[in-house]
Amino acid sequence: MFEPLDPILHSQLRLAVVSLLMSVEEAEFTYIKEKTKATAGNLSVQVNKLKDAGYITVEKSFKDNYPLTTCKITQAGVEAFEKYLNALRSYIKPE
Amino acid sequence: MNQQELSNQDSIKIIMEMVQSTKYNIARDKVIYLMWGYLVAISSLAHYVLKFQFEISQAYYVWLSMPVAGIITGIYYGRKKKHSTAKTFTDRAMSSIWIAFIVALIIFLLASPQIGWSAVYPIFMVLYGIGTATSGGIMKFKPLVIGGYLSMGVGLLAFYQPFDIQLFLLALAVIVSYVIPGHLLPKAQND
Repeated sequence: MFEPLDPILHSQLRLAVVSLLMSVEEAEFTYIKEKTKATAGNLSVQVNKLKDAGYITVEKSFKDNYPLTTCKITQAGVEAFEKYLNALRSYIKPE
Repeated sequence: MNQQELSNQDSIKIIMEMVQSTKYNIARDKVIYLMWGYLVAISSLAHYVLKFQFEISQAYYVWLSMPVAGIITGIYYGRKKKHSTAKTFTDRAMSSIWIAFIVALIIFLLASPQIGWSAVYPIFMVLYGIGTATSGGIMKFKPLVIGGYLSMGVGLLAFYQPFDIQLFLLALAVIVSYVIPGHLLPKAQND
């Protein structure tokens, strides 16, 4: 039986962002942008979608007078990612 | 990256690439391991030569090299931290180890009149070993782990030796735990 893939995670950029945030404690917007090679505009849209889904938190502050956006995965995000991985596994190795 | 249809293989590739890209790059610490290793080795040998060959009683001034190296290290990691745009568990584990290491080192330095210098140097060798063996374990870099435990073994031996031999053993301890693993670390890539 195939489990459905979470549509929020099943998108290149959103999956990349969540995978990144799974392996760091928190990351600045610029870090995510550099690692995913996404454009700021597109990344901003996808980050907001993840935030609205409750998968990540986005904190806005300042560093040396420049605006700083810090992203962090939430417990719900971790669970969704694990569920997504399990679903992927069920596609690769059908029982 | 765009919003095209994702295959399962694509998904796995994205996940693996992203996880891989966040890995701690120990090669960036190469210069620090080498600096400390050579500086401690040279300082202890210089201490030996000045004290036991030239009989200069203030030979211990060579250890003023340590606070200088400490300041350089502080600036190096301070700048690195300022430019870092993500926090990882490994970064935190590594800095926790080395901060605790420095605090322990300072405590033994302060306590040196009480415990005597003949115990302080061997204790330092054990401490150096703890720092490199744990860092090497976290990074899965065997030369640091092996060097660390060798340094502890040399420390044990040093407890039973007179001060002049201890100075040689200190040089040996840092050569096995810092200098050799430092040279074995891959060259840092620009990232």
